Amino acid sequence: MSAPQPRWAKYDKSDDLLGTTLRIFRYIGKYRYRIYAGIALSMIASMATLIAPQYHKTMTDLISDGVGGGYMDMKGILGCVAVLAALYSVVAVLRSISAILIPSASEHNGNMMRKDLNRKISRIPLGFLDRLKIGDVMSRFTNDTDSIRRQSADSIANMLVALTMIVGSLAMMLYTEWRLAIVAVIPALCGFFVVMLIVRRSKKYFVRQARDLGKINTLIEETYYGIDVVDAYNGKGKVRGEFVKVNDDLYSSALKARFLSSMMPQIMGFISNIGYVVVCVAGSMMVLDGSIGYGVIVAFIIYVKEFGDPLERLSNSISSLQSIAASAERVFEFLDAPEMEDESRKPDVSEAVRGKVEFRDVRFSYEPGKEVIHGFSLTVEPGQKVAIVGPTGSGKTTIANLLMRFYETDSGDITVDGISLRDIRRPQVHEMFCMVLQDTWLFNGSIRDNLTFGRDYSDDALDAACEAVGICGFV
Amino acid sequence: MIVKYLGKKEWALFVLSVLFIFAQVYLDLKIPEYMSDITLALENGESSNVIVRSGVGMVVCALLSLVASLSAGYLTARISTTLSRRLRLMMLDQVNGFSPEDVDHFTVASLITRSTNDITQIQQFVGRALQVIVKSPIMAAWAILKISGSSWEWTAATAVGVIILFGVMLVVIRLSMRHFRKIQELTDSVNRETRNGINGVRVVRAYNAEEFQAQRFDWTSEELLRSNLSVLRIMFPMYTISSAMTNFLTLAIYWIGAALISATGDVDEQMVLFSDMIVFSSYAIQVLRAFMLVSEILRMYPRASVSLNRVKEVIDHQPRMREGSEEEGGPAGTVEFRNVSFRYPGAGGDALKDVSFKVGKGQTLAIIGPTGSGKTTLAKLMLRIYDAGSGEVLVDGKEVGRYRREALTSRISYVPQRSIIFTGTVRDNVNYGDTSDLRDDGDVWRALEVAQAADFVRVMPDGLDSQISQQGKNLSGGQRQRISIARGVCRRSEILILDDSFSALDFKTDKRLRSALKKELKDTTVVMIAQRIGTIMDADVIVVLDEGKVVGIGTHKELMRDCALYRDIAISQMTEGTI
Repeated sequence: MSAPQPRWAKYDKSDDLLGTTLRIFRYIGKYRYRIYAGIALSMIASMATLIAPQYHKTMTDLISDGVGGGYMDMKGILGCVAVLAALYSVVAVLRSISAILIPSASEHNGNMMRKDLNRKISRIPLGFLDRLKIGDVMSRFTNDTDSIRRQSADSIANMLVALTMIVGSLAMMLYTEWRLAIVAVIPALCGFFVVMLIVRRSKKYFVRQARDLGKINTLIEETYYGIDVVDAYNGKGKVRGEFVKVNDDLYSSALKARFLSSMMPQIMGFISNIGYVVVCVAGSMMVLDGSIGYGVIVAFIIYVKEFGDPLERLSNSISSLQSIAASAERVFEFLDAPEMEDESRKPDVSEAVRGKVEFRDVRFSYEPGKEVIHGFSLTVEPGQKVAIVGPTGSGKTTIANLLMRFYETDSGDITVDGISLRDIRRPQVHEMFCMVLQDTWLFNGSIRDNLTFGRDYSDDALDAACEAVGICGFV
Repeated sequence: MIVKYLGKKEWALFVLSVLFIFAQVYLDLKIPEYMSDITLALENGESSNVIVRSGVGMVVCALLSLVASLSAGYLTARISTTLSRRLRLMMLDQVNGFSPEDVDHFTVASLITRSTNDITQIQQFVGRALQVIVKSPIMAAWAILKISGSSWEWTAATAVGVIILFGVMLVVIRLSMRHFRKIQELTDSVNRETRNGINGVRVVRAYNAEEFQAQRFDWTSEELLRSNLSVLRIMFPMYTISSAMTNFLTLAIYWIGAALISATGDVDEQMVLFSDMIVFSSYAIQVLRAFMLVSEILRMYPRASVSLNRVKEVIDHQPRMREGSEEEGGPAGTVEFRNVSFRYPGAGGDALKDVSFKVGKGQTLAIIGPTGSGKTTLAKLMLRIYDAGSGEVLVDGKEVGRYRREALTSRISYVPQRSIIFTGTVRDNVNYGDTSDLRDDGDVWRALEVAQAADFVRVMPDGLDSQISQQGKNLSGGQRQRISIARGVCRRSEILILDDSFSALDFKTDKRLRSALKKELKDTTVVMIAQRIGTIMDADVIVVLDEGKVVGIGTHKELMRDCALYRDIAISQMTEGTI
């Protein structure tokens, strides 16, 4: 009777980084305009800093004029300082705004994800929900949304900015000296290719890391759920043994994920070093040839650096996108779980129910092939009180579950006033019946909230209910 | 703070990684030196030999630098993940020694967050910080070395820059700490709401309370969003202040430079000052850049520090209950209460008042009484889940507090009111705990037989290997109860406590189970808490509880004669039962 695993519990592939990234981006929805605005502001700031060197030059010239007994134009220098100070202030303000705008999109994204995940719980069929591991779901709600929230917008913004800068500096290099540009770019591209290979490998470990975190959560949750028994049976040793195993798994996946992702910027640093060497050597050869002047090398040393910086930023953001994608897949997996059918088209049957309930040859199994209700038929007239008795495990609770449409019958039909339950919207089915479940479940909050679930009842009505079940004494 | 959780091995790895980072910084600085050789060669019109030789040197340096940085990266990753592994295990070991009171003090949801989310924060911080802590002082020291000996005005300006930078950071860290604390607490709430939402899904659906539940969750989520946004608004200066400081410092150095130059009349000195100014500005930026690296780490600091504190709170928490150290007890299988009174922490009244009774080896003790009369509390005191307020609780003739915890629990098998079922097979659930290696499948079947669970386990497709889902959701209430009883039977300890464990069983199964217990567990002392007279009437000693007080003690016959409450319960149930 090995319980079938839910589809998404086995899910362990999809290294489609781009697809997941795009999905997150779409998910961000209207908040993506904050990312656009943030990118625009930081680009304006970058352009503004390009003007600064002009004033720096003027200022330096003014000072050097004053050296060697010349006249020091303090007024002119002060003017330059003032202009530059203003410029830098503007840049700082622009960057600050962008530093709030982009991460705030991430925060809103995380909030939306959490809320959607929670609402999803009420749309999943119970048969599916029963097989989930609560601790693992909790990990998706907190750890996974957290890892997405913390860096998704930043990474996406960084990636877009970096791509623009790469294209820009490549154009400048090609424009200056196309042969040297090609020579300088080849190692960078090779390096980038290597990094991408590592990226593909590292994804696997991020996926494992997220999964292992979920496992640890599951183990802890289950241990605390049964702490009475774990403690009384000296089961702590066994729990510890299992914990050590999962903890070691998490250690090894976290170590690999961390190491592989820290490799990316280091390899990009190496590549930028190699690019520098290539430019120096190849450039010098060309200088010896007489085909270029020494100034071209100086310019190229700057360009190679300007090409390498965004490449490093790109590889950094792709590296964090790995861990984001690993978490995002777990979140989306839950969001994509099969839902109960949409019932909005079913007719509204809210008018007074007389209360004739009929079971017609109802058959039902929780798991395929293991039927627990075998052709159950019963007619209950309005106002009748019916008791269902039977030995334990005979299906008493199951009948109630079917009446509440917590599960759907395999065959046969249950009708209320002649209308099949299938043709009634689920909330209206629940409206017809009031059910007290076998397992007591209370959430933390006031007694009132536990009794009313947020609906309005008068204090008298609540008192009467308390009186009826004999809890007035302790309330 | 974090440092004290590092082991010897991690310190060794740390020292090693420091060496690698030194090597990397050195090699990275070496590469441009080869370029000046090339430049020199070009100016002197030397052959391409020099260029090729220098080129090879540069490539070698770049490769070595890569190796060094990869090694340092691996070592720091290893230190940070080892640390988090150790912290997680330390937390588990600590919580294992907690009493329910201690667990409630933190709440389950919060303990889960602390074990995963908080430790992840610490791991990320340590991983980043280790590299920077080494690298930035090297960079700063190197730059400071180059500029020492220049005019004090410039040094003062640089110092002012550094002080402002750190001042702003300190203020920001201070202000944001409170919010980070709240963020982690709200994460606890998200965990709790999620757990509630799934565990209570049937009730929520039956009462169409989906929207109510969603709104509760939304409130928590929005609150978390608000705290995170507050942090952003407080932290934003950290993102820009360091680059702005660099720019302003350059301006200040030039401005000061201009003033210094115009103040001195000496032409030679002016020349020196001018070139000093150019050099100084580039190295001063280097100093600031080193501090910028630190600022990046400081940005992560508040969150990690809050998380570390939360983890430490658990690790340093002194469990309420002191374990005893004794292993041996007196006569096996006896339980005695001597004038025991008990009050739950924070409760208004006593849950038990002056309770005394005694039961001997192989006897059956039954405890009956209305709900809230203190029946389960008795069991909890036997298991020493709580300590009695006054009086003595003795198991095997010795006060429960004197035993080592496991010595006490190994004497008692406890079947709680709420059947606890773990994910795993039927065998895992029945043959559970410290005795599991000593029991074979025969024992498991015998226990199932006694618990009247063998019949339904036998028809399960995989028998003992059949998988039970979390919290036993694929079993009925009565089946869960019987598996849980089988677990208690299988352990074969001296004392078996059945806490209202027959409530979901029909009369016939109840009866068969009792006679099987009597037959198979002759030497076991059974403590049976029940609501139904029928379940307990054969017991050797019956204790009748009402509002925490013993109102009757004796056999069924004696109590029917002497105890009004017992008679009331019996009559109300007999009339129902005899129809």
